[in-house]
Amino acid sequence: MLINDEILTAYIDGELNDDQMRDVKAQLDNSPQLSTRVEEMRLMDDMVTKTYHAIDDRPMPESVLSLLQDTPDGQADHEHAHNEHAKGKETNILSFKKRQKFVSNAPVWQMGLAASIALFVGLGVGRGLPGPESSQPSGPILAQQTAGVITPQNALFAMLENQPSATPVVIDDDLNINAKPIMSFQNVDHEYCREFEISTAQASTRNIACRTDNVWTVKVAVATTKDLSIAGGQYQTASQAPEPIIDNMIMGLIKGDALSIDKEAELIKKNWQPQKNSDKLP
Amino acid sequence: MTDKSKQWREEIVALLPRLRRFAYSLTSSAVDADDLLQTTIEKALLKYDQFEQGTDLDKWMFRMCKNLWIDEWRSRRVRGPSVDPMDFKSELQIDGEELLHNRLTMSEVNVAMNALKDEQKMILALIIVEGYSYKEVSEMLEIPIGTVMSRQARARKALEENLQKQNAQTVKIK
Repeated sequence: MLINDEILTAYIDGELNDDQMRDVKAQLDNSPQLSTRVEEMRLMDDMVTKTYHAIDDRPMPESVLSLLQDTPDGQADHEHAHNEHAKGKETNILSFKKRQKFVSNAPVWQMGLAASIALFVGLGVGRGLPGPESSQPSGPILAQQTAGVITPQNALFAMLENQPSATPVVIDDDLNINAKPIMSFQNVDHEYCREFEISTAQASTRNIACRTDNVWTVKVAVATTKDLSIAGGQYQTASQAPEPIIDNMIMGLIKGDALSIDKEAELIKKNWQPQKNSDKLP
Repeated sequence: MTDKSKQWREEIVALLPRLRRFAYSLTSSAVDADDLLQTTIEKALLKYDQFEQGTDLDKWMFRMCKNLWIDEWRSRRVRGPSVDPMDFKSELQIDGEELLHNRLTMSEVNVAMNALKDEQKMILALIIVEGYSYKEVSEMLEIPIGTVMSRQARARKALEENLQKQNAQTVKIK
């Protein structure tokens, strides 16, 4: 296939069919010039995205909100919805939007600098969350999770594949490990990603994993602890709440908005397969 | 307010951030963006009776915003693009120089976008910023999907050229 700007643009936007995507990818791998061009285009996209997301930092005008919530009923309803979100019982979409208010537009690399490696629970092997009473990693689940790739053999795989956001699931009854997807989104590389939480009685991690080649790869994990007396140097705790860190990561990764509950349900049904080719351009 | 109408309003509230960014990319000014957003919501509320159940609300709203901009707003806009780097806030104060650089770059992007044709701004905003698919954009803008593809490529190219022009001018001034 002859590569021109139109094809490159459609490639970046994920609008070619699978064969075409592979073809372009192969040509990019063999041409530093082409891959530089794609990088430049992606950089520009990032800047455009950041530029127009800057308005998110300004409070939504009251005049606009009052148009839509101008009755006592409406107000009560809004608050009710907010409380439900806080309890994690409904769609997470609005709550993520609310959270966005506190999120800067700093790129991911800046977060890396700011948060420093200490905040990122090692993605290397053997740095799992400690078990309830020992400094050993608490079983194969967390050990595999922290190794970066979640394969179908891992209990977390089923949770990421099938569990709707905001619905917790018990991963290991004996070790008292629970997990819960928090939200789903598509990243700039067109992979589907999920933010999720894993918790034990003493500690928890907030994580982002993206699905590629039929496995989920953990992009980042931030640990927090409920009991500071747990030590042992097995893991690092976040010096601030993990939410802003994770939100910043999401802001750096996300393409568009968080997926709606309906879209998520549809993707769960389809095993998170990308859009059908019929939706793509020929 | 009926339940149906209440739900409809709540769905619009959820759409506000997207519509607002879209309005910002069209107007290039945060203040104008909020005004355009308000006009769009007012118009939507007036047209509630015409909204047919089953219609995609976001497409309906984006189309309304786009039409208002083209038909009524563009000609009477008085403010220019927001070029003040302080308009582009970031709460994470890590590196002052880097931050300032980012803000400058954002104002450059905004100026470069402002110089594009409306049809190009819209397509970039919907696809790049909001992540809509070509198919969705073709329905929103009521143009064939092939046109979305070629227009998007031309828009990216034009934006790139505008940014390069700006850079060249900056170097001359220095």
